[in-house]
Amino acid sequence: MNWSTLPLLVSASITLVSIGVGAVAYNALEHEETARVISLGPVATKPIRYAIVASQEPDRCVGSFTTSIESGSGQTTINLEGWLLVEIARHIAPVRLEASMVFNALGQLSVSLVRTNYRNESLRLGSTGVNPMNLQVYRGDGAHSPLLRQSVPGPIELRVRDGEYELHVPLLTAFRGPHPLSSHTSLVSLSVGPSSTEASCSIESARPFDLEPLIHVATSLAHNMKGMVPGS
Amino acid sequence: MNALLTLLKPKALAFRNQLTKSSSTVHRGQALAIVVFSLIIMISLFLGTRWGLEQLNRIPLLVYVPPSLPLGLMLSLLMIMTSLTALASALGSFYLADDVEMILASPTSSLAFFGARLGYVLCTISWMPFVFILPVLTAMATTYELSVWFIPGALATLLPYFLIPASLGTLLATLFMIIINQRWAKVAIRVVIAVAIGLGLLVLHGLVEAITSRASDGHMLRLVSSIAIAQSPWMPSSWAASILSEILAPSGKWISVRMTLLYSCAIAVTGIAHGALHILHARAFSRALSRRANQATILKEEPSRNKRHLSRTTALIYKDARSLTRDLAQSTQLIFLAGLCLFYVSNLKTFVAIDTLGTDSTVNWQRAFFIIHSAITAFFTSSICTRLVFTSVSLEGKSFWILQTAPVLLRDIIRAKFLGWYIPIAVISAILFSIGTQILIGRWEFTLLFGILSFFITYGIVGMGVGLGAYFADFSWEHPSQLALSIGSLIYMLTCSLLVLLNIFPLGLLLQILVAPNPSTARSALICVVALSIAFINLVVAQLMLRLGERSPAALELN
Repeated sequence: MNWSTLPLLVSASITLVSIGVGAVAYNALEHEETARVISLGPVATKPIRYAIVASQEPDRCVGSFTTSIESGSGQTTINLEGWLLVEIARHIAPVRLEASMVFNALGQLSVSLVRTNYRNESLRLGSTGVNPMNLQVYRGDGAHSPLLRQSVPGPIELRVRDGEYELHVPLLTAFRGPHPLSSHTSLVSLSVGPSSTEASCSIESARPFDLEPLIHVATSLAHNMKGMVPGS
Repeated sequence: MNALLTLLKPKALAFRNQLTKSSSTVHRGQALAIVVFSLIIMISLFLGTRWGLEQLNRIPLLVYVPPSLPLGLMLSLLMIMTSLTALASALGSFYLADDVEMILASPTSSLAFFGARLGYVLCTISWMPFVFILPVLTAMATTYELSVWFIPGALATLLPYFLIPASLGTLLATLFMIIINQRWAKVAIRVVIAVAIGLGLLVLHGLVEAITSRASDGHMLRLVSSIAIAQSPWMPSSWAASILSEILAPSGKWISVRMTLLYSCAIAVTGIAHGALHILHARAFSRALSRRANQATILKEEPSRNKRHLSRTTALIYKDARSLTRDLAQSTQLIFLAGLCLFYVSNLKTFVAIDTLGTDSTVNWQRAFFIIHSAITAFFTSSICTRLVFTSVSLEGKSFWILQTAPVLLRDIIRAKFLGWYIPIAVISAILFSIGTQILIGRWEFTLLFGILSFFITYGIVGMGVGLGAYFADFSWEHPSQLALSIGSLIYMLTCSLLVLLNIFPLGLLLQILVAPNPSTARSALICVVALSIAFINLVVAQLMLRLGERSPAALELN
């Protein structure tokens, strides 16, 4: 063996090990980064209509929503309006959803209001502040005292990447260890895609989505979150 | 290990002697003034950063600036600049230094040679940025809740952060020496110039289109998203920024993953650099030697070929231009700086997005981005001057006595060097200033005014570079890259930062007066006063510094 090549062999081995370790670490980093990103689709000035379909039956929709994004005066506003046909305790009815989110000039969510309606019940969820975000949940349209007040870490950021909007939600990576949401995503089994025509997805033709298991998971998650979210 | 220490010892002793050799009261006074001046700058940086962060933290309901954003921007820019410096330093340390031949002839292993020289490159590129980073990090640590882990965490983060550019510079220097030989050098330079012209035209086309149509190609979010590129997960500077940010303001990101990534990347790049050096150094060094020998031949032949009569100043400028193109380390830095300039200009069109804001917000954002753009342009100009203008007198090296014996006064030499550098740098700076102003404000009269003012700002920066470069002249260098990393260079950078700040305030004020809605005679007079004060400040500073340079102790000692 030629001893003069020994340092080269040692450095080559160390380099290879470092590249390997680096690749594993980068994979973990990318996983962490993608876990906090929600893709919102292409940048477009016109409203975009999406259909929500059950993964098992992709030809029948369970819901639909329309998004529109407005920019100007240093703000970006995302408006969302839609419905999801659900089945809760053998009752089939649409859950209607209206949301409006206002982002500041840096693309950070500063104010948001979400209103859901199921049969005669309505829930309003509002957030103010960038970091932390102060969440308040109200039951009923006329209610003044909130059902729940909660401070959660922010900011939720809206970014444009490769012509598509992305929502960066830090709360999604705030949970350590196994991701509490990932173990339950199979229960949702819904996918979202752009819908071409109004007729292709209507309440009349929609198939109800069983929400019972999801409510169960959400209740347990809300219980767990109390110990995980700072300030709760 | 012994060989490594033996190789590093002369450098450490030289540094110690540089600090302690000054026995005279004048030298001690100078050293004290330098220390006091550096401390003032560091304290100013600390207070400035702290004030800025406190202002931002006052409005968490409207906007939140996480520490990772300013840290990411600062560390990414710093990494680009340190990589450039490392390339020049590695070219000098591994190939152009006088002692390389002697070390290679001695029974020293390639590993010891590599380790010692890499350690030297690492120290030379990191000490100066460290002086600037330290007060910024301390300000961040005191503004956010100071964690006990911050100081050890910052040190553990900054070591691989600086090792990456040092190793990358070493690797590039080796590849550069192998690829660029004497025969292909001219062809390579012509190709680089052709590519630069092509890219320049492409960038210009995009800018003209953006300026004339004012089409923002999206909106403000594109601009913000492009700023957030400094936080991209593939950038080592972003890993370092995230680690420091997480220690200061935890947001749930994994520090261990980023730290592993930072260290593995640093080790991998160092390993590759060592491998490349082990295999290619002998060939690359041989080329460096033959290059030197060829240059000597060309220099001997040159007087017979060039018999044109030149005026004294023109002859000195001509000489400097030829020296610059022949010096590998200097011309490489010039090419990289030109690339950096082109990249910045090409991204300026994103700022057209400001038009999409509301009327009230537009004015505020215009002012903010104009000040940022002016500061970037001024700092870019000073960065060119640190590497090329400040070193111009010292670059005469041991042959400075030839100029001293010629019938030319030191004053004329300094003035010729000033003129030689001022014209090209002023043109580049004016282009950058004007394009930025036209994109941000969109009015030709403002563009013309700020374009003219940029000539005065450059006058101050270049004058200061030549003056201080002459005053802190060091003719006993082994390779030119040592000069840009000297104490004198630090003084120049710090003084230049002060001059830039001194210019930024009246520039901001001038913009505020210009965009004010009601035109009046008083307003016109105020515009004239502010513009003239900018010109006056820079003319006075340049003249004072050039006169200081004429009293250069190093140059006078040679007399």
